[in-house]
Amino acid sequence: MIKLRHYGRWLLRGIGGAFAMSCLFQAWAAPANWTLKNLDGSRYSLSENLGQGPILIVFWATWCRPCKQEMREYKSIFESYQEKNIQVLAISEDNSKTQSRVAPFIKGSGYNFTVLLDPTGEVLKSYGGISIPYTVVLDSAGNVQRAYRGKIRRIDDLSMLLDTLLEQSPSE
Amino acid sequence: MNRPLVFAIVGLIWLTTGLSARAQDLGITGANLLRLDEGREVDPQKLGDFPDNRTGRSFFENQLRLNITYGALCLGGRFLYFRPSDVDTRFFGVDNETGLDKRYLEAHVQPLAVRVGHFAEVFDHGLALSLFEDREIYFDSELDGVRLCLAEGPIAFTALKGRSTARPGFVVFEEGVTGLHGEVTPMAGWKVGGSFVHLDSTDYPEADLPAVSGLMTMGPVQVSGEFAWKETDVGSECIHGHAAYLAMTADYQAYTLLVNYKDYRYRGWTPFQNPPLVSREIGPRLLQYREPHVFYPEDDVGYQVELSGRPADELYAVVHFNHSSHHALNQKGIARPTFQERDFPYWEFFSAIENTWPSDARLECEAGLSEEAQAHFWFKKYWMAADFAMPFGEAGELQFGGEMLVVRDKRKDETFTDELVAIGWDNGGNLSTELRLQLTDDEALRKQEGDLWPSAEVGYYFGKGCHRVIVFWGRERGGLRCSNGFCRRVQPFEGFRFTLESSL
Repeated sequence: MIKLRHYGRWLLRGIGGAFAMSCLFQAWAAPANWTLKNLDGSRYSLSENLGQGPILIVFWATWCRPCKQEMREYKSIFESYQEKNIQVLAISEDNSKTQSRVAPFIKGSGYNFTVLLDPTGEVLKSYGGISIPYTVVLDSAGNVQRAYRGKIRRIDDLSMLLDTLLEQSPSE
Repeated sequence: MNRPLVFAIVGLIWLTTGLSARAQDLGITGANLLRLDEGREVDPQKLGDFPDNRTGRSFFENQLRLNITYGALCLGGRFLYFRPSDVDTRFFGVDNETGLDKRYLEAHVQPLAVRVGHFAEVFDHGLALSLFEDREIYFDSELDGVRLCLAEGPIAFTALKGRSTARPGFVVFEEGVTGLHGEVTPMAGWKVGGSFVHLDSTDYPEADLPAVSGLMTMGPVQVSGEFAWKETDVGSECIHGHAAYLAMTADYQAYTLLVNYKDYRYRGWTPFQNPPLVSREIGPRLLQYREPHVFYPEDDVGYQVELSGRPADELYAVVHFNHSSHHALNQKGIARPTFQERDFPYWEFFSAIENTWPSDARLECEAGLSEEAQAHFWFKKYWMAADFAMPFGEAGELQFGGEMLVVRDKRKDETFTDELVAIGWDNGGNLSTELRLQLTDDEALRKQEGDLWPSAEVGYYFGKGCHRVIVFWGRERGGLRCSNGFCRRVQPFEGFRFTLESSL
């Protein structure tokens, strides 16, 4: 009897959960999405920024020396991407312990990329990241086109890919 | 808990709602991490001096992570195959693991995101709740449960309920956690938030943690902070603790001033709270091996001041000072750190520069000093570190590194020196190599793990940068490895290490 009640309770919870989920699914139309905070506390949602051209995501942290080297080395190239209407997102993997260093580093280095905070690493993991630096290229629909492990080794390849995606993206 | 049943039912309904016809929306991302160690390591339970205190080390770990995205739905998980070394099993208590140790199902429908399964989370600055996993130090406070996030306009709300998993040898035990967090962002740069966390009485005492937080921006000045109360129920009475954190940044032209203050006295701290360090955790390599500062949030007060900026276009400079200690007895007014040995003070001062020349040559230098008193040591350290890189070949780079650390043991009245030299080559394409040599004149360390650590490491990228192989051969120093204030002592190792990272 107790066993039956136990399974019955879980069955009810399961059906309830599934019903709630299926209601949500009926309404879905959006592609894969995530929301992160930026340095001034406001939120950036991927789905709200799709359809405006390709997106370059650079995962980094203030304690990661190769990440900082990469950002410094490719600063002017990343800025030229932004001028072409390519969104450059620098997603910091600093957690609550070291997050206070992000803003001083970005401001002191003169970067004007959109900086987002991913303190739990969930967005990094969702794109197959294990370690940083890690770079992901998304098309204008948010689909992953390529991922680069470690520091970007062939910046020309990346530029070519972004140019191709830019040509393919719907013009506004 | 019969969660597989819940997943099965959810899956069944999902398949029968006709949504499976949208197969074109299916996206799969994933990663695999493989690590293999073969060699010898120091066995803390074996008598005798180095090299007789060593034993064989055989370690294997493979983590396969997959995320299947189907429209707004994401199903993810990690398959783990873990075979620790004998020393890890005997000394730390970790055990073989094979199976799906993480899994989740997540749905995003604006403005809602619902996740069932494993998740990490941070509320504000982490004073009330901060959950994360770091397998290097055998730490995992992620919860298995349900999380609901709602973000609409200026309002954001998160509710979660779950349970941590007790794994053999890991520093987090089983605990039921319930949390609520809400925040309002009336305009960019301004925010008010509040949290409430309840810890169940499973392996830790029952406790409640309410917290308030805020952020305000006035021109070039930004101030943020959080205050958390902790009430721990220990049966006959309730113990009251608190944690406070304040951060301020101010910009002036190309310079930024950072000032942080912390006052942590949880009186029953658990691994589910990870407040900001307010000091530096990762510095030059030699500092990592020689009793690095270990953060102690149960009783810690301190501050850090850092000025960084760009005096010239190609020069980035940092000057930093931090100071912390346990709370002093009978101190009145605002809690502040002391330099008294009985309060276990720690302070660090360093200055660093990074300069890049038009030829792409690059120099990074750091010099600093620190002092820390603890129950078992009282060290004063002085260090210098320099890394220089210059173009070599068509797109390659030659790298040179050198570090020197002088340690003054004030209790034993001894001074010893650790040194490190490294030379590396990166072909700018797929290959990078580094030769490294560390040495010390510390007699006690020589008896424990030797006085010379030569090593070579080769990294090779393939598959358009999707895969990386790292092969290490040589000797590696032991010591504390810290992440987020949690540390694990790693044994000195000699042998071969193979690491393969892949994107799928």
